[in-house]
Amino acid sequence: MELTSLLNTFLGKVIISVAGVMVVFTFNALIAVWLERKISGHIQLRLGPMEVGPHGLLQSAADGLKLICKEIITPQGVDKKLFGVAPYMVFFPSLLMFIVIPFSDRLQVQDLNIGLLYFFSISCIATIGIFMAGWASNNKYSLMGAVRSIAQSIAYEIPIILSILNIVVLTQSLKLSEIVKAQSNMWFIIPQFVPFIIYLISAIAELNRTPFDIPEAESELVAGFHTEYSGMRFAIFFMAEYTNMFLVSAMATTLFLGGWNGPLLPPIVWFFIKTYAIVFIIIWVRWTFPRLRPDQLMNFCWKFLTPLALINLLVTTFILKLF
Amino acid sequence: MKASYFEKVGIGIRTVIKGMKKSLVYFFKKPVTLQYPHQKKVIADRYRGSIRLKIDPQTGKHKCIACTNCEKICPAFAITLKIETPEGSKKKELKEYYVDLGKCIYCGLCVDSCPVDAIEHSNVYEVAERSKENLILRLDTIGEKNV
Repeated sequence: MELTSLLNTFLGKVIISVAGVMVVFTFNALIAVWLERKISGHIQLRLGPMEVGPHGLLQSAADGLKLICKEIITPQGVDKKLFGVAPYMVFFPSLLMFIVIPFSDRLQVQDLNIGLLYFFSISCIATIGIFMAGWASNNKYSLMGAVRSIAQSIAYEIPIILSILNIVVLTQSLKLSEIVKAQSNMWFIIPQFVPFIIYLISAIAELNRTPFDIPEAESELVAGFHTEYSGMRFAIFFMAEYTNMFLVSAMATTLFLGGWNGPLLPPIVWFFIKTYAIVFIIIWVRWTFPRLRPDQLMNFCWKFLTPLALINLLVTTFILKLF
Repeated sequence: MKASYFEKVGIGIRTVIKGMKKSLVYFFKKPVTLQYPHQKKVIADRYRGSIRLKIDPQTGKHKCIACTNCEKICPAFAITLKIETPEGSKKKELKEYYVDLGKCIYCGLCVDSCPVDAIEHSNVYEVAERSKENLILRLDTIGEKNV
């Protein structure tokens, strides 16, 4: 009896939400890393991890355990405070972004009125963490990686926001639950296919993943902004990266693929099926294309994606005004 | 002639689809990886593995006549024979036969030079050992190791 009354309080809700988000966070990090290695292996006619657990399913858990056991090394000459704080600056935004994700019709931590705005503004904070890491490392490669990351983020925020504006114009709402409900008859991917593609490309760029991984280009910058990091601090960067991949896919599902709408199966199952389908596409793209040059990256954003997104927004608003 | 902006866009879209299709096709192909300790490759009959003395099925003994042809021809000095001639006999007898797998280059000259076809290559290729001494095969181990 006392437990139920505790759960109904605000504090109880917060505790349960944090626990739930942490569970999704951890399991996603483990499964997404495993998926990445498996898919990359099979695309290259390899098998990927096979030894730990059935088909290597526990490999990422073993790797995580190893990273936890490692000594945390702070190199000489770094800005110790910034160097220590930076991984958490990348990590916490991705935790906060979970708040507005509608996993099912009832499972959502907080259904904010400005959910969409909240999601994309919080996602920008992670870039500051990346710059902190690059600056504090006192390493030219880290700094170059961070600078590139900032340039890329600024450039690709614009097509992302422009492609999302189409959805906002259609539903007249920034509330994610309402956007999902508006798609019960038709998913927005059908009338808004071009924005979906623009969103996906820009999202991959925001995630700093191949073919847009110039901030951590191995052949030029060692590992970019996290060159000097090891042990658990590196693991936090790594986990944040895969969590962001999940979040971006979850947002694509919510905005374009009808969220938790779907027949027969429970809503939450539909949500995860769609999200991991997008995760699969992101991984598939990574193992197909080579890395772009920085100037090609900027050209592609400013000369192709941004104009296309603008034209698309104009057409959408024009059609909406006509009918 | 340089391609125009829209031609470039068209080429881009075409090649993106082409590339994605290619990697998806490969994703569904059967992997070629062999999981070595669990799965082992089938070795060809004429593979030049480590040297072994042939056992004569009739006598149950090796056929070596101690002519030392193999010892002389070996370019890596991997083979050493220990020979004794008993009192009152002209026939040489093989006392010990050493093959140092650490030196052997698996060239097969010893097998070719044997007049009585007493030695051969086995299919054994997993010859790693923890000490150099274990790499030297003797008359008593040359059979059991190279089954």
